[in-house]
Amino acid sequence: MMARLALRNLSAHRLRLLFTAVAVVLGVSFAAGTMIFRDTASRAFEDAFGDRSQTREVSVAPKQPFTGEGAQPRLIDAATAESLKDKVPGADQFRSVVEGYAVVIDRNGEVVGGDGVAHRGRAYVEGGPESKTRILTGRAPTAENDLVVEEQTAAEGGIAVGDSVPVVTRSGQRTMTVVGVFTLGEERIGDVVTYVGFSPAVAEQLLTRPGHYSAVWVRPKAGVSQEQLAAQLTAALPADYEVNTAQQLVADARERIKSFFGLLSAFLLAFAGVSVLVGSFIIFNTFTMLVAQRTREMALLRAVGASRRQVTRAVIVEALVVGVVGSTGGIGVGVGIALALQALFSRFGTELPSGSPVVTPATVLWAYGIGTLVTVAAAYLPARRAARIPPIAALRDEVALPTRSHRIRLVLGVLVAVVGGLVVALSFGSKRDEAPILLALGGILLLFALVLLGPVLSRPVVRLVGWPVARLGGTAGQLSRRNAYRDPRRTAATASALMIGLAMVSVATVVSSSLSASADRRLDREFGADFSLDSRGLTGFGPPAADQVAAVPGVRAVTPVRLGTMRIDEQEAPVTVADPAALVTPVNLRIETGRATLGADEILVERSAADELGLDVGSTTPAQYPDGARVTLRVVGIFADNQVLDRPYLVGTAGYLAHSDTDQLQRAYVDVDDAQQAAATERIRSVLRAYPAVQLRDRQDAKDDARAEIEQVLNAILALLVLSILVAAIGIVNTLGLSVVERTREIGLLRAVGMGRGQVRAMIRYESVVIALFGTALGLGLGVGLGVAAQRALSSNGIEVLDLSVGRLALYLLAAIGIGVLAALWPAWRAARMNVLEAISQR
Amino acid sequence: MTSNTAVPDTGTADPETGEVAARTEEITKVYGAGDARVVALDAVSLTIPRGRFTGIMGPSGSGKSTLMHCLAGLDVVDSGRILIGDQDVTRLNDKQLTALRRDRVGFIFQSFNLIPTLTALENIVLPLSIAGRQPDQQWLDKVVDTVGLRDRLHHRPTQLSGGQQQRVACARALVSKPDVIFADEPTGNLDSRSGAEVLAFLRDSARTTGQTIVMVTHDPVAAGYTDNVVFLADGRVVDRMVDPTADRVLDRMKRLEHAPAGREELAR
Ligand SMILES: Nc1ncnc2c1ncn2[C@@H]1O[C@H](COP(=O)(O)OP(=O)(O)OP(=O)(O)O)[C@@H](O)[C@H]1O
Ligand SMILES: [Mg+2]
Repeated sequence: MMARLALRNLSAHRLRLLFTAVAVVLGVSFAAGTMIFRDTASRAFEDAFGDRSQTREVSVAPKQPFTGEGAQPRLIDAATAESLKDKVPGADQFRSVVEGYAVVIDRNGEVVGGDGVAHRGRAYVEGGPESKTRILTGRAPTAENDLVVEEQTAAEGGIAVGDSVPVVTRSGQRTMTVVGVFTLGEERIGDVVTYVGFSPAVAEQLLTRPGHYSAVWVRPKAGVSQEQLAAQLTAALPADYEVNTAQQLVADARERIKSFFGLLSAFLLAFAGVSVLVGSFIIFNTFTMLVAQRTREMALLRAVGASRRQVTRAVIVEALVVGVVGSTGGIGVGVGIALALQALFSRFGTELPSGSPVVTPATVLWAYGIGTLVTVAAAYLPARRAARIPPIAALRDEVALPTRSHRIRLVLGVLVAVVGGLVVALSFGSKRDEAPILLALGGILLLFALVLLGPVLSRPVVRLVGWPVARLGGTAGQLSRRNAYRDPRRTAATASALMIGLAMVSVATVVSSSLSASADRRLDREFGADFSLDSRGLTGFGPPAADQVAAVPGVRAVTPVRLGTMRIDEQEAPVTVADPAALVTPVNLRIETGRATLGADEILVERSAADELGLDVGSTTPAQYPDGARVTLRVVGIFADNQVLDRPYLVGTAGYLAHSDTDQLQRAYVDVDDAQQAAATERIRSVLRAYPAVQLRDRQDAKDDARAEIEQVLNAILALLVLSILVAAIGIVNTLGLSVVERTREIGLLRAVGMGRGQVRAMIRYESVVIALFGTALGLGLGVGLGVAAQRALSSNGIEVLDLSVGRLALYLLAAIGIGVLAALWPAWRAARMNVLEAISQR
Repeated sequence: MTSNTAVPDTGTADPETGEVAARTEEITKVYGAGDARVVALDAVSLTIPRGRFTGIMGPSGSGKSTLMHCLAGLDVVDSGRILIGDQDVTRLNDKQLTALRRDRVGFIFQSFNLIPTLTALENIVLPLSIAGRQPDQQWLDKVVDTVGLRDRLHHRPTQLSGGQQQRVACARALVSKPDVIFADEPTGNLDSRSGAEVLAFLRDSARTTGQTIVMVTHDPVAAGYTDNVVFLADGRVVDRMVDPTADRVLDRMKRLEHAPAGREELAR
C-alpha cells in the first residue's frame, strides 16, 4: 500500500522528480563517463597490441639504466647479437630491430603529431611471418636520403611521396626525400605514435650507431617453446641484457597503460566526486522540499494509522525509483561525456586511441551504486523527519517540518573551520612537496566547514549580497531577499552546490595566474640573454646551428646548453651540461660559494639540492655517466636556485661529452649587440631557416610559452569543473521551482493585491540571483583565500608573486549572476503563469 | 419581505444615494460541460451602492464566491458586463486587470491574507509598494489606529492572532482607498468575538470614510452588520434586503435553504 502511494506520488509530481532525476543523472554521468573513457581508451590500446601477442618470438634488449629526458638508450652491438647464433641452440632466426627517436617537421615548422605523442623511426623491413608492414604508395627506402612515412603520420603532416622534409633524430637534422608511404597494418597506432622508416644502413647511422641495434628478436626452432628459448638466451647473455617473450612485453605494456589510466582516471574521478557531492546536495534539498510539501498528507496517513516506518518507507521507495532512473540516464549521458573527454584530451595535445565506447558491467554497477545510494541516503533524513510529524498537523493550516537548532551545526562548523585553518597555516612552514597536500587537506576541511555553517551564514550573507537587489528591485527585490533567507537550510544547501564549484574554480585561477605572474617575474630576472635557441621535439640540434648563429655579425656570444641525465648518489637526475661562467649573463647564474669553472668529474650543485643532500664545496658523491662509467664527482661550487635553469646539477661540457655518444644541443643562449639588434635578429632568422628544428625565442616568447602552458592546465581544470557548476545551476532551478509550488498561495495573494506578472518574474529572478551570489560569495571567498595561502606557502618554491586575476574573478561573479538569471527562467515563468484564483484557493 | 420588488435587480442606483460603485449586467458563468456542467452564475444583474456595506448571502454552492471573484476581476465571466465605476472589467487584459486590482479594488480573504515574510506594516502597505507609491502618512496613521494595531506593526503574521491578522488584511484593503473592497467570508475562521471586531470595523469604515465594501458571508449575524444584503440561490439573485438584522436574514435564509422551490416561488 505504501509502495503504491509512493508510485502515485511519483506520477503526481512528475516534473519535480524529473529535476531530482536530472540531478542524479548529472551526478552519476561524470563518474560513469570517466570509467567509460578509461575502459574505451585501454581497450583501444589493447587492440593495438593484440596482434603482437600472437607472435612466438623472444626479444633481446639491453637494460636501460637511464630513462629520463636526455637519456640515450643503450644498444646491442652486432657482435653480441652474432655470438648468440652459436650459443643458443633453440634459436632459429634472428631479426635485428633498429629503432629510435625521429621527428618530422612539417611545412609550418611544427613537429608532426605535436608533443603529446611518441615519435619513432626504424629501419624499414618488410616481411616476416607476423609483420603486416607494407608499402602503400611509392617504394621502400634504399638510398641515403630515402624516407618512408607511415600512412597516418603522412596524413597528419600533409606529407606525400616526392616531398622533401626535415627529419630530426638523435644525430641531428637532415632533409630527406619521401619515397613511399607505408602501413603497419595496425589500425589506430597513428593516434599515439608517429612513424617513419629508413633504409637499414641509414637507420643505424641516424637512430642507433653503425653496427648497433636497439633490440634483436629471436624465433624459436620448431619444438622449442618461447620460455625454453628465453632461458637459453638469458644464460648466453651478460646480466645487463633483458630477455622477454612477446607476451611478456605486451603484458608489461598493458600494465603500464593500466597504471597510466589508473592515475588519469583517479584524477578525473576526483572531479567526478565533486559533481556527485554537489548532486547529493541537490537531491537532499529536493527531497526535503517534496516531503515538506506533503506534510499534511503524511500527517493524515499517520492519523489514519500508518506507522512511522511506513511513512519513511514510502519516501525511500520514491528515492529508489528516482535513483535507478537517474543512474540509467547517467550511464547514457556518461557515454557522451566519455567522448567529450576524449575530445578534450586531444584538444590539449594528448592524443588517445579512439574506439566505440566500452561500457563494462563494473561501470554499470558503480553507476547504479552511486546513483541509488546517494539518492536514498539524501532522502533518508527528510523521510525520517517526515515520519516525526505529529498526526495533528494534518488539521493545521501552516505546517513546518520540525527543524533542529543551529547550535550543534555552529559548534561543529567552527571546530572544523579552525582545524582546517590550522592545517592551512601549517603549510606555510612546510617543505616543497608537503605544502600542496596540506593546502588541499585544509581546503577540503574549510569547504566542509562552510557547508556546515552555510545555514548559519546564510542570513547575514544573504542580507549583505541581497542589499543591492532589495535597493534596486523595489518590492519584488525586497520580497525576494526575504524569501532567500526564509529557509536558511534550503538556501544554504542550494548555494553550497555552487560554492563548491566556484571555490575550486577560483583557487585554480588564483594559483595559475600567480604561477604565470611568477614565471614572468622569474624570466624578467633570469632570462638575461636576448634570445634562446630551442629544439623542437626532444632530442635537440647539432652544434653547427649554434656555430652558424655565433658567426652572425652583431652576435656577441652563443652559450650552448645540453640537458643531460646522470645517476648521482644512485638517483637518476637531470643535469645541465654547460660552461658555468658563460651562463652568468644569459640566465643570471649566481655562484654562492666555490668557483665557476668545471673540470672533468666536477659538479656544481643548486642551493636547495645541496641542502637536502648535505653537500658542500669539497664533498664528493658517487655518480654514473650515461655510458655507464662510474665515477666520483667532486662538488666545486654551489649556485643559487635558478628557475630558468630548473635543474639541480651543472656539469662541464667536455667532461660530459666524453661519456656521451651524442653532441646534440637542446638549447643555446644568444647575446646580441644592442646596437645591431634588429639587423642581427633578421640575420639569425635567415640562418635558422636551414634548421627548422630550431626555434628562436626571446624573453617575451618564453613568457608567452610559460603562460600558455599554465593556461592550458587551468582550462582543462575549468572544463572539468563546468559539469559540477551545471549541476549546481540545475539545483537552483530545482529549489526555485519547488519553492514556487510551495508558495503558490502566496504568489496568488500578491497577484490579487496587484502584483504584475513581470514583478512576479522579477521576484523569482532576484531570489535566484541572491542565492547564486551567496554561493559565489562563499566560494570565491574561500577559493581566493586558499589561493593566497597557496601562494604564501609556496612563495619560495615557484609562486613568488601573487596575482589575484581580478578581471577573471569579476567575470566569475558576472557568470554567477548569469547562472542565477538563467536558472530562474523556468520557475519565474511558472510563477507568473499561475492562475490567480486557483493559486489563492489552493490548499 | 421585499423579494418580489427587489428582484430582478434592474441595475437602478440605490434609492438613498443614487451612486453606484459597481454593477453587473446579465453575467453568466458556467463551469464544466456535459454532465458536469454547473451554471454558477445565471444572468446576474445587480448594483453595488457606493459608500455602503453590502452583504452577499446564499446557501453553499449558490455562486457567492464566484460572483465576488468575477466582480473583482479575479475570474472572467462567460457573458455579460461588469462595471467598476464606469470601467468595463470584462474587457480588460491581464495587465489592466493587475492595475485594477492594485489601484481600484481591495481584498480580504477568509484565510491566508498576509505574506508571511513581511511584517504587519509591510503587509498593510504592500499594494502601494508594489505600485511604487508612497503611502499617505496621515491616512495610514488613521487606518492603523482604526484597526487598533499600532503596537503590533512590526510583528510577523505568525505572531498575530487570527483576528489581528484579519484586521491587518482589512487595513491593507483600506490603505489604498480602493473603489470597492471585496471580502469573502472574512470572519469564517474567527471566533465570534474576533469576528465581531472585524465586522464592526468594516461597518465603521463604510460609515465614517464612505468606503464601499462587499462581503460574502454565510453567517446571518455577520450579515446583520451590513447596510443591505443580496441573496443568491442557484446562481441567481433571489432577493435584496435593506438594513438587515440577523433575525430577518436568518429567517430569509431558512426559507431559501428549506424551500428548494424558491425559484418557482419567485417566478410566480
Ligand atoms: N473551479 C470550479 N470548477 C467547477 N465548478 C465550480 C468551480 N468553482 C465553483 N464551482 C461550482 O460553482 C458553483 C458556485 O460555487 P461558489 O464557490 O461560487 O459557491 P459559494 O456560494 O461560494 O459556496 P460556499 O458558500 O460553499 O463557499 C458550485 O456549484 C460549485 O460547485
Ligand atoms: Mg465560497
